[in-house]
Amino acid sequence: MHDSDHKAGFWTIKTSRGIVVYLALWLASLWLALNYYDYYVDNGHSAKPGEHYVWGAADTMVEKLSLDHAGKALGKLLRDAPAAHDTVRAHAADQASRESDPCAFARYVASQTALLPSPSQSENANRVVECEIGALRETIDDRTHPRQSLPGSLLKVLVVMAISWLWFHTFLLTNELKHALSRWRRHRVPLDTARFREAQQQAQADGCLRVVLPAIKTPRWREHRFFDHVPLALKWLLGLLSMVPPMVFAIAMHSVYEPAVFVMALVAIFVAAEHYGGLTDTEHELKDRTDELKSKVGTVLDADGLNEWRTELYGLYGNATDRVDAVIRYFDIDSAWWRCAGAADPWQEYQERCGCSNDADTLLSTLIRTAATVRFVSDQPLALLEGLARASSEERKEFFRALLGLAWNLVVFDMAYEDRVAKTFDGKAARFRIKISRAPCWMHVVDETVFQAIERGKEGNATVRQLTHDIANVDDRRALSGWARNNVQDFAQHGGRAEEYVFAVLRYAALDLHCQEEEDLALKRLLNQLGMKNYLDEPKQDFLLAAFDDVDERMNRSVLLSRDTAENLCTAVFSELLKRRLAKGNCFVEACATPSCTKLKHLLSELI
Amino acid sequence: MSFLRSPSHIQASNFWNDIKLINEAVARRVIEPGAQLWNIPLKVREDIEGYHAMIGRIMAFTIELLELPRMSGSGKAEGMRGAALQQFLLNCDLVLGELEHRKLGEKERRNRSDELLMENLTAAWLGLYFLGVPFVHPWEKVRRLAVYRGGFPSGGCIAKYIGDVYRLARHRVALPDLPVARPSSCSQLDDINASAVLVLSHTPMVLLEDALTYRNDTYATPLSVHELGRRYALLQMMLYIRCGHPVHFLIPATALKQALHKLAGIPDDPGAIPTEAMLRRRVAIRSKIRTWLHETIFTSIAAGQSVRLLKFPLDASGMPTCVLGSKTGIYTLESGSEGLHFAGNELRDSLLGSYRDKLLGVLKLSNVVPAASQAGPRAVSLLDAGKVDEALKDV
Repeated sequence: MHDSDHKAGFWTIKTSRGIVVYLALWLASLWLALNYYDYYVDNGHSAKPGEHYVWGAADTMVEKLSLDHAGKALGKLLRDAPAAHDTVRAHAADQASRESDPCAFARYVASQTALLPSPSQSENANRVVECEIGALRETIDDRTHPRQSLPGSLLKVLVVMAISWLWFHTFLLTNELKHALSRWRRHRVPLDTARFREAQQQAQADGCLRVVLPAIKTPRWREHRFFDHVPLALKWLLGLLSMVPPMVFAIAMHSVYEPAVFVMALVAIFVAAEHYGGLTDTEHELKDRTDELKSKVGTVLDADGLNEWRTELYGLYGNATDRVDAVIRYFDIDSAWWRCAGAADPWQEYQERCGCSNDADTLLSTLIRTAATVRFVSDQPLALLEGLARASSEERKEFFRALLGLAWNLVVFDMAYEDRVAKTFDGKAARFRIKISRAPCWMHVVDETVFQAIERGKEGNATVRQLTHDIANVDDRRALSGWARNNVQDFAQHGGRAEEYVFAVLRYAALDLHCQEEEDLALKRLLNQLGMKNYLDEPKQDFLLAAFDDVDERMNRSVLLSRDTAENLCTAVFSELLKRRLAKGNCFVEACATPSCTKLKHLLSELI
Repeated sequence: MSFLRSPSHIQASNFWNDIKLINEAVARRVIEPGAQLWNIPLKVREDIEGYHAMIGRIMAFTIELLELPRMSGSGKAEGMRGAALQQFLLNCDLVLGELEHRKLGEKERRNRSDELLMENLTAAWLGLYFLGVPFVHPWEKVRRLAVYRGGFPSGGCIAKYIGDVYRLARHRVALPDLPVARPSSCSQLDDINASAVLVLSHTPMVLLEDALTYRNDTYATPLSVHELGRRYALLQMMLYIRCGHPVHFLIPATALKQALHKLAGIPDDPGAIPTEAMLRRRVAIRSKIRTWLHETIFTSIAAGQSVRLLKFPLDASGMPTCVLGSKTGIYTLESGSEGLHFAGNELRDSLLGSYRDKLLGVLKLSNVVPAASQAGPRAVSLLDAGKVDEALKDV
């Protein structure tokens, strides 16, 4: 079932629309068919009285149907076969000879008239001839198609169109009703937790020890076997109903054209409509299965999946009221940040963008919206840093990207915290924190929603699944999210502050460069040592290197940055982090570290 | 004979030598008069030749340690990783033999494998910290193992945790969730006490310099890690005190008496008569308290800081000694010469809250001057320079 259908209940707009369209088509085609009938009769197609009297005709037909006739016919078919064959052949030859000779008919008439000897006889003969001619004319009228008038043809075309449409919609509607029925059968009235709690409190207030169980809102009778056959019955019913307009049309035109041919065309339409209905049904089924699989297996975290997940998560973060505890494997950097490339102070530009409404899907704007306490845990393996000097270019890129993402997130967290503090009266607000810890499970817990991501080898193979997706019971959800949250919190509890990690990494990089403690911090050199160069050179998701900056905001355009700009942006992330941390300061460093002059030794203030 | 040693043994032995060197440098630098405490790592580096290579060695060894598996429940880890663990345990024993001429033996080192791993990891963290590149990873693994084991090993690990309590409290004040106000009135003092670090100690480092070098023969790893851990705790304590953040040390007088006995080497056994040398040593230790407290630790005294010698006994139910911050704390169990292998664990949440309530109660009680005039005050503030000698006369 589609998610939208789930939320809308079993009766959807689509169902109502299907029924309305069907009824409209049914009425329209019946109306057209009747009009055609009327038109046909009005235009004096010499219909004999009672010719279109359906019931009489049906009666006659039924009367003529008898076992005797069938038996006779069968006898003829089997026994008189050779004789009949001869007669037919002779008759055919006779006719052929008559048709091949144009004078034959005249001669035949002459021979007939020659048999009449007297005037009285000739008067008689005239009458007979007139009779014969009348009979002939009638036969000719009967056997030849009348001249088609344009309005008549148009009308017929309209009727046929309406009827074929009707048939298609018959099958579409049966499918839709089938799905609606299955939704209805599966539909559960969700437990009204507020009322349940009220009842429980009431029970406790009454001194009653019994736990009040919620009323069972699962209508079991909907699962009865009887409903299994309803879709088929519906199909037949609608099919029969849809027969009425074509029947009317067939009766009206039976003398104009062979109705059997029309019926054959109708059968073709029927088959096509049935197939079409079946196809849409299959499509529906496929979507169902995909959704079902998705709820079981989860979203694959390739580029699209990541986007989808990020949107979903940011939506949840924004609306979270209690806590967000998450294990982060890959720190996202908003594309809005890379688009700030042109600005003199990219961080200010980013903050301004997030403040206005058109960039509502950035991390900063999400965190500004949220009321929850946010705690992230990230695993940054020490072995990667230790082996960085020996690592391949790809590994160095990965390492730097992880560090950059972490530092970027720390700056955004600090900005969001400042915003949060500014909004409170007493200047008291929960900080956003990131901890470094070995977190083997990859989970996001947002209030009572739990996401579990599963790593499968390289990136792009990982999947994410919402564990609480199918848990309707509030207590169960709470228990699961509580467990998951404790888990993540334990990792956080054991870990160290992310700022400390970033500073320690910078100092570690300075070792190999033999930087002096008293010299000004050469941030770019340190970052290059940590793999910034490799990050810029290797292909990456965040932006593309180009000869010039192109940060246009057209749809689906990747950001193009020149090498210098990209380098400046990366450095700006770290320098902003340093600036913010050193300004907050530790009581020892206040005197010696100023933003304009940061020395390598000042990094110790964070580490000591 | 070094060609007979396996590479991993050489690595371990180098590592422990490095820790020893760092410990010696730190010992000199931390208590240097007028030392700038926040750049201790730079001073330590000055004292160590080739610190750059040393950091590389310690990092490499740390990576090895981080990859070691815990011993499985049966006591035998299988396969290659099991072999690595066995080699590690053997190396621990060999290093202990080289440095302290002691031996654990196969059974004990297997039983204490977690302890050995935790102490090695702690040593790695401390080594990196004092060289100015602290990475949380080894300590994070120690904390994970402590959860499995239900506590931290005595000595270095517990001392490191105590240091962390001060460090965390200091960082919290530096980056508060709410702006910190200096106390100006009584009610504000209560608020400050709510965030103060509370210490109940029997062998307080704040008074006894010799507590830093206290040695216990039951330690499974070389003494340098235990000393280094205590020096880390000392450094953090001093940093915290010098930043002027609130802290209260509560020291029961009877416990201090025993601590002096213990440090002087006087046996627990009440029947044994202490030798003259032991008694002399005891007096020497006691006489050092004043200068240590006033000239090394408390160079200045801020509001909300106190060191109290409690003359009244804590109630009979007893309470383990502990160091309590506002977010985290640790209790420790001090024992006789036999020692406990896992003598402390972290305190969190409501347990921490109940410990803090208890100590705040004791703190309030120690402020009350008894009505009866013949009884002395319930507690003596050792931060009063004039009263120290008099107060310590009885202990």
